[in-house]
Amino acid sequence: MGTVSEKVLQETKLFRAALPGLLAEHRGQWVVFIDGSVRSFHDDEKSAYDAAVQEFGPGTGYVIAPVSEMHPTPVTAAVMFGLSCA
Amino acid sequence: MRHRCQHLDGNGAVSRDALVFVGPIASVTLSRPVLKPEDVLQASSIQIKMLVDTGASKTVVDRGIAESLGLEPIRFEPMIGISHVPEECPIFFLSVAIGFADGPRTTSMTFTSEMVGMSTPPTPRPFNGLLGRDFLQFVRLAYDGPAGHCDIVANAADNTALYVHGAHTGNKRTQQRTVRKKSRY
Repeated sequence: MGTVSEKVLQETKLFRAALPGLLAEHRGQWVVFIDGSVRSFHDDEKSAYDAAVQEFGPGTGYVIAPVSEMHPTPVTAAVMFGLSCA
Repeated sequence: MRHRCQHLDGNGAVSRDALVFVGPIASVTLSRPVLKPEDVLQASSIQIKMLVDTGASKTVVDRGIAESLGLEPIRFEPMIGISHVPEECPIFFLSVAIGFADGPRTTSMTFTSEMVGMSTPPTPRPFNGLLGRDFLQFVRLAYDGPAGHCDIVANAADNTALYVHGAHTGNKRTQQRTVRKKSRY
């Protein structure tokens, strides 16, 4: 059995797989996602967090995520500017 | 109300050079997310230094610090670091308290925010995270290079913070109120 963090990573991958099917009707909402399925939808992140903690307890392997496309984000603009002088 | 980011040299004078070479550093207190105003004073917390980074879209914190608060990630997101290869990074949900001064009056404002957890080299550094634009959207910045400081300016009436704790120096009276009208818990 893995750590909670490993479970969250696994659930994140399952959420991404389910995301295309959620975007049409739930874009912009927040979800609580666990065991490969959406447990609940919410209008904002804090509401989703509250609901997840109330139902499952803090940090028990659920995913809280926005229903929106996910793109890689640069840590800071300097990273994208470049670090080489060559 | 303002939180002043400045560096003092060995003589206690403001160092303009340090603002150039190190950057504006804010002292903040991180804690587990507070769900009710009364939780603010009870949550275990850690005080760290964070670099104000207008080039960062997301706020970033040393992953070990988030984990030291007993936090688990709420999801993972791909982030691009110096390798230029996206890496899965944990996203933590936590509360950030910043002290502000308005003349003799001091106030702490608490924001609940996401932070990206990143592993950092074990070399000493003057800060443990980046305050990115997802946090800076709630405040104003006043960068005064000639004076050698950068102020984070906030207004409690903006309804951007979850909780505001006010303390007047001298009589140690403490006030507490919720300022976010839309999301009251």
